[in-house]
Order: sequence, then C-alpha cells, then structure tokens
Amino acid sequence: MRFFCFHLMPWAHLPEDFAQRYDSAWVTCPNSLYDPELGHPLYNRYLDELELADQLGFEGVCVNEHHQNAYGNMPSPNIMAACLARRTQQAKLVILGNVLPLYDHPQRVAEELAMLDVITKGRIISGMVVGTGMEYFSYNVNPTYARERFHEAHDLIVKAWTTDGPFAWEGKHYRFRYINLWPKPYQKPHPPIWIPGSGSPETMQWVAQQHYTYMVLPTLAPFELRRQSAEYFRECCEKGGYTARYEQIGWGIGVYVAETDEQARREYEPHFWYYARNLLKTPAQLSLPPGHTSLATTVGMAERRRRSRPSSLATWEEVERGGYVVVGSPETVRQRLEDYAKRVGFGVLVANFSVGNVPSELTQRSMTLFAQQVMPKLRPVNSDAPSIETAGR
Amino acid sequence: MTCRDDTLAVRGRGIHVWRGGAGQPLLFLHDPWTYRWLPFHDRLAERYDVVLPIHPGFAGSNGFEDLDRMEDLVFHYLDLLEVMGLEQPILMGASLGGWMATEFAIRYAGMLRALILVDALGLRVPGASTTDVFQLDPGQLRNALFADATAPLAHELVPDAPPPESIEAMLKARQVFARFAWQFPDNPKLASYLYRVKCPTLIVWGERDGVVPLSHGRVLQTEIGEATFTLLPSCGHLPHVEQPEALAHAVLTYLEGCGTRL
Repeated sequence: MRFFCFHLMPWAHLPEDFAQRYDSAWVTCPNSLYDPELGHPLYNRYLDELELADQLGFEGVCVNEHHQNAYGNMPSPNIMAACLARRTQQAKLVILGNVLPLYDHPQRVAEELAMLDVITKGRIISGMVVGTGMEYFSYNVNPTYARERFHEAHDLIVKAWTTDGPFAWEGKHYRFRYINLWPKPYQKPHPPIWIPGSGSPETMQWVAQQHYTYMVLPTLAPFELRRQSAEYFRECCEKGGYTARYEQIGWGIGVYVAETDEQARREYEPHFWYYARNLLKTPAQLSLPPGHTSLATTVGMAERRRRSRPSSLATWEEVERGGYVVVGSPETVRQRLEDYAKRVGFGVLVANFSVGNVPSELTQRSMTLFAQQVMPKLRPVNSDAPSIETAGR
Repeated sequence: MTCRDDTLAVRGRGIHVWRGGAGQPLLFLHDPWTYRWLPFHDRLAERYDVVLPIHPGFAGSNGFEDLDRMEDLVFHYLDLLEVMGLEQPILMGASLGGWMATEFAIRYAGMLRALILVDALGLRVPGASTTDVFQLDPGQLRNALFADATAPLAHELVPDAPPPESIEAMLKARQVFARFAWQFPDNPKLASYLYRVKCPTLIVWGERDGVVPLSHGRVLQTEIGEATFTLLPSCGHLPHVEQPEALAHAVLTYLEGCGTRL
C-alpha cells in the first residue's frame, strides 16, 4: 500500500447561516465572504499540514485545482506545489489535477510541471482532470468541448514532455507552430500520470488503455458505487490485455484518527457537517452543464447524485454506513481501511485528514497517529511486486 | 390539419423534417425547447407550405459532431434548401433559430421572400445582456421563458425532473444549444451586418421575454432596412408556444400585407 496525504484547502470561515442564505458555494458564491486577513494564516496552516505529511513519512502530498468557490481555495495547484517544492524533502508532490480544458495553452501545464519536476529532482506526479462542471461557468469554456479539449491537451502535454522540439501541433482546439519545452521534465519518460474520475466509463476505458493510475475520487459517493467503478476499471485493463497493478487504483477518502472511536467522532463530526452542508452546496445545473459528460453517463449520474449526495444525508449513522469517511481509533481505522482495500483492490490510499473547518491541531494529531499506528500495519496490504516505476505508455 | 414527417439526407446528415400545408414555402427554424410540429405550425400551414427541419444534434437529426459555429448551420440550411428544392422561402426563426435565420439573412437575403424573427438570440447589445439560461434551475428557467410559468405547457417543456422517456432528447437539445450559446449566445459582429438584410422583415417580441431583452428586438428593427416590429403583451420568450394564435395572426397578417411583392 502506498500512502498519500490529500488536502482541499477549504474556506473555513463561512457564516453559521451560510446554507440558508446562499444556494451555492461555487461560481456565484460572493467573494465578499473571503477575508485575506483570515486567508493568510489559513493557507500557511494548510501548507504546514502538508509539510508535516512529508516529515511523517507519507509517500506524497496532493493538491488540486478549483476556481471561484469556498470548497477549495487552490485555483492554481501548481503554485501550491511550488510553495512545497523546496520545503519538502522526500514527499512526492501530486497535482491532482490540472483542469486541462481550462487552459488555452496546454503547454503551460507541461512547462510548469517540468519546472517543478526539475527543481524537485523528479518528485512530481501529474494528475489530469476534465474538471467539475462548475469550472466551465467560472472560466467560460464550452462544456460541450470538455472531453475533446481534455484529450487533445493531454496528448499535446505528453508529446511536449517526450518529443524533442521544436515541433508543430495541429489539432482541432490547439494549433501551435513551435512546441519546444525548456525545461524538459526530470523523470523519464515523464512524470507519472494519475487520472481522478467519478465513474465515467469512457474515462476508465481510456485510463486502462494508457496504463495510468485511476483515482477513485473522494466525491463522497457511497462505498458500493465507488467499489464498482474500481472493479470496472480492472475489467477494462483485462480487456486491454493486462492485469492492473494495485498501484493503478487509487482510493480517495476522508480519514480521521483519535485515541478512541468516540473521541474521533466527537472531534470530527461537526466539521464534517460544515463541509457537507456548506462546501458541497452546488446546484445541479452548475455541476452538470451540457456535454460535460456523455449523454449516457449524465443520465446515470444525475440519478445517482439525487440519491446519494452527502449534503442530502441527515445523520452520522448514514455517513458511516455509506463508507464516506473512515473515522475512529487507530485500530478501527486500520481495520476498515484494510477491509476496503481487500474488497476494492486499491494500492494507493489518498487520505484527506482535514475536513471543513476542523482546527489544525486535530488534523495534525490525527495525521501523526495515522502515520505511527496505522500506516506501518497497512503497508503490506495490496503491494505490487517490485518493478521499475512506470509512468504509463 | 395534418402534417407528415420524414428523414431527409442532407450531405451525410439524417435530418428529421416535419411538413404541412401548401403554397409558398415557409422554413421554420426552431428554438432549443421545442423540436416538433406544434398547433402554431398548423395555423401557418393553412396558408403556406410549412417546413420544420430539426437542427442537427437534436433528437431525430444527427450530425452534431462537426457543428462548431453558426456558419456551419448556415451552410447546412443552404444545403437543405437545395436538397428540398425550396425556392425563395419565407424564413422564420425563434430564439436560437432566430439567430440562425439572421446569420442566413445577412449573407443570403436575396434568396428569401421575407424574414421573420421571433425573440431572436444573436445580438450583443452593450448594457442589455441576455440571461445565462444554463445556470438557472428549472423553476427559474420557466420564469425566464414564460409569462405564465405555472402553465402545464411550461412544466412540460421545462420539467423539474425530466421523465425517463424525454431525458435523452432534452439533454441533446441542451447540448446543441450550449455548443452555440454557452454564456454569450451572440455574434458580436452580427449587428454591423444587419444592413445587408434587404428582404421584408417582421420582428416579434414577447414583452415578458426573460431571456433576451426587448432592446435586442429594437436593434433588429433599427438596423434592418425594411423592418416591422410587433410586441406581444403577456408573452414570454416562446410566443409560438405560449400565444400561438396571437403570433400566427401577426405573422399571417404581415405576410398578407407584403403580398403584392411576394
């Protein structure tokens, strides 16, 4: 098992009555609610937590890209990775992920990650995503082109990393006469590529084909649905003529560890509700703009979202039963994660120890307990036979 | 009044076409929410040969993949006119269809007997933005589209939750609409070429249109040489749905009045 520490960097200072007064935490959520005086210590505290993960021995830390919202304040994950680059010693820096279709110049992503990869001597992992529907409203990018732009941008980025330039790129959405990356990435053939997804079959089929890692997103769908998507991914690999390695399946989940189950729940729960009731507040038309996903997937997802979104959950019992988060004593957490790992077959655990407006001391204590008492026991589970780390075909 | 429908091959695209009536041809370019023959079309078909092709990408008509700009649709409709052998049609368009009709008319006005624009999208009017319909929930969208958002027809066209039998068609319609109309449903240069619309033109606007402001209709009236403007009170963005009789009356009266020159 490989262990990564994930952060969303949420806005922790929404008013008590936010959910009653506002219908969205995204796009139109007024930025008058943001206070840079509070933002200064908040960003730095979040970065401290990720640096702690490096010190505790997590294999890597993960940042992500979301625009114009209270849910996650990292419009530029590459800037966060840059903040961490020279202050972390061994941890990999996972950008999970750049929203490729938002870039009119995909080579910007290729350049920035190459810079980070060279500065860190090969500690970058490149996550690439189509992005939430909300980003298409924020950036005025046509969602009916989301998948086309994603694939063309991905192809351009990988070629920019692996083919010496200058070369020309003639695509439908991107046309450049000179692609000629200075610097080139440190890792060969290029940084590993991880693809977070929320269950779209097209995505999983493509990831399997590319031999990339599929990251089952912590979008808080119930356990069974997420397990099925991992199983489907494994089937896609089999159909592609190979057996998926454990490290090709990532599992994102909220984790919190305290001395006892009761203490863990008591400390975590109110902050989980801050997250579920405020930060997840997203009108359906913002998260599912036309063409963002295929017709078939959209129909299925709309149904599932209506039925399973945690902001529609009312009680902690429902949260636990749905396996949305793993909260408890070190032994409880170890047991539940091991059970999930065996049932799902994931080899990369991407754990988010922070939630909503939880105080930093609690997050840090939880991370420390996890690193000292859970990680060593889980490490042997779902480990691949040693091999040269591949970055995918 | 009976209409018939068929699938027509237009340069490799299979296009679902409704048709009814007889006489001079009237080509109707539909809006994103209705893509079938309506009672309104029956009224027009009393006097004209009404042709209602479903735009590529909507349910029943394929060929969405290579539709990227309005110009692609203009060429598509040139092709369709040729395939169907329609001579000097009256061209009528509503909402998104109105934008298509305007794009056609600035280029090929000489091919048209008359132009009728109903609550047309397509103009960029500083200080008078269109509503971003894609960020509205169903209740808000009904309010923007209809003077009476509680009417059964409003709930049928914009349901809170699409019934399973309609969901695919509705998603397809929304997707084609978004391809052209995402955030700014306009061609910023369209107004500067309206002077090229040299055929008789009727502009009709619903006074309660919550999608495209009335001022857009006034710009069309001002910039198009031979233009008549009719306002429909107590009517929203889709007069052919909400007040078919009033719209039919306005259109038929106008066309009759142009009669000596048609």
